[in-house]
Amino acid sequence: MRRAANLTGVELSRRGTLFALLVPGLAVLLFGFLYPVAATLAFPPDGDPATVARETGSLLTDPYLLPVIARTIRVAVVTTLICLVLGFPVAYLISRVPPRWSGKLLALAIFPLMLNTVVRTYGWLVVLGGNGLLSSLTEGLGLGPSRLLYTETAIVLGLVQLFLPLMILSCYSSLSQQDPRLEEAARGLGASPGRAFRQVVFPLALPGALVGCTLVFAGAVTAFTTPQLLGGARERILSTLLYSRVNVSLDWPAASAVALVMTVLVLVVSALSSRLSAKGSTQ
Amino acid sequence: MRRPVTAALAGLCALAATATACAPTREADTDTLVVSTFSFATEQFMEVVAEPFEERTGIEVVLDTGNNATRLTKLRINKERPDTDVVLISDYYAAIGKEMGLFERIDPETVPNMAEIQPWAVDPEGYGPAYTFQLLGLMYRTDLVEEEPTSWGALWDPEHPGGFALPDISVSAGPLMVLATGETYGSGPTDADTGFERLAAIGPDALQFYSSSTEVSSLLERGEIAMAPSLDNFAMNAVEAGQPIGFALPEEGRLMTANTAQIVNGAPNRAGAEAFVDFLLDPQVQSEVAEVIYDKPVHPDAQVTDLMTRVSGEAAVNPTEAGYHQGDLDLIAGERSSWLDRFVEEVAR
Repeated sequence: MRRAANLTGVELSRRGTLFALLVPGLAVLLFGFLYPVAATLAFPPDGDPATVARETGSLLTDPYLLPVIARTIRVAVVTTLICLVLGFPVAYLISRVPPRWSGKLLALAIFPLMLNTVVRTYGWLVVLGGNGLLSSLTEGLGLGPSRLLYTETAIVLGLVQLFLPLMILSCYSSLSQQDPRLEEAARGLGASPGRAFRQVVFPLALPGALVGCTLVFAGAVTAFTTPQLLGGARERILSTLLYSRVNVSLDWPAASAVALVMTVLVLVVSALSSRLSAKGSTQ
Repeated sequence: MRRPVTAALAGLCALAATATACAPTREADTDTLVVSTFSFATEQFMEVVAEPFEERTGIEVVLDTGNNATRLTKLRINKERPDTDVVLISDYYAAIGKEMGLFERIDPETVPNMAEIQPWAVDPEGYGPAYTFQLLGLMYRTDLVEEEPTSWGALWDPEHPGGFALPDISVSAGPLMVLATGETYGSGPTDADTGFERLAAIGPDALQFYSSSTEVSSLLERGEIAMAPSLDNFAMNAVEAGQPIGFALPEEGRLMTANTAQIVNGAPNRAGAEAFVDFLLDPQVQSEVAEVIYDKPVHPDAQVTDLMTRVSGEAAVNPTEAGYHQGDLDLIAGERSSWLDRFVEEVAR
């Protein structure tokens, strides 16, 4: 009896210590992140929650701004899907080559992350412009000059290049922990390569792929420089709209409304992805 | 159980104490001067303005840099407890700041150079003066445009070769272009309706609505466009480097933007701020700034560089005599939200 009571005491004090250890970190998170974010969203300078709510309402009903929201979602979804389709096979390859190669290949895949966004984006201007590489190529083939710059396609291209490394890294983290013998076993039991991939490799790597999708989606919704330079003023998305409201009209409640919509978008996708991931792992 | 909680509370207190220690409020601080300025050419600014000022007065200058909007937002947030003394800010954002009550009027006695500078540079309401200005004109490729354009009409001419870009409403040249168009085609520089209507007519043909000087320069350099309305300062580097870039001043619709030096309402070092504004207007300092940072001077005794007159002619020396004006700043500032909407909905299509 007495021993049991003692144990609980130890257990309790251990929990207390754990709590005490967590407090500083939690405090930093609360005061350094949650509080400023919530305050900026709900209490912008010259505004209160009611104004922000009103602005959000008009944002969600303005016939000129609804296409901006639609474009933002479309661009982010397409970018995420392309990144998944391109990134997953690359991550799979890297996870299956001998270790001395995987490190080098991984470094190569991450390399674009080390370039400055502005430099990378100006590179696209050179490729996509009317006098650019792509245009001279199509002209040479007799298809006439092509103009991709300042279109939604250009934004997607720029964002895919920007976020593909994130997708590769996330997928790789799942794939590299997978025992390759599982796939071999599936094949040994008569599964075709496609079936082994569909029923063994992909489901096991789903958590990593979903994390990758969430990161890419969130990045694509909030990216600013790339859409601004490659899409221009005509192809406005939420982040460029937010920029004009903060920098041109200095209308902070209206800017908060845009930020609120962006935050909700990202949170919804992130919640969906963790639900999918939980579902995947229980199966 | 009790000890860890005490430890946690102690930790929290320590954290709070650090946070307060990190943000001391400046009060009646005469030893330092916090100057909020553009993040452009800060090293040169330190060298030709801030350090000589430190030597003369013994006041240490601390720079706080960023774009107009960011710095104005910061001032607005710290309105009750200002930590900045002087703000160098463009006239449009200065007009918004005045309306928010962020700046103080200046007693001309405390800034003697205000009596010397070009009359337009003195604020009619008594706020901070303009210390430099930039002229709106047409930057163009001399090898793609045969004759130097003489009017804004070049943008509406269906024969014009090589395409063009327009400034986005988010850069200084944007709102100025609305006014210049109104002045050229409508009843005057306040005729924004005509400005928007005429710009809407060519909006679909514009390759891009540029949002930075780097962007418009690179579009011209790559030959993606042959011309774009821009500020004369954007052309200076290219002209100096001998690139085929010219800057045309249209005969009508001559708008300019000025950078002003404002003293913050409740500045912790008011006397230092006044001395700094006066120093910025000093002809010697203005000449050096012109040479190093390409800011055109407003003091008549300061030296205008050859490059400036090569780009903008006599207007670089005396803009008002050449017919340049700032437009109705209160109109632009007051209508900023509706102009942004109109630009997005009508022009940038």
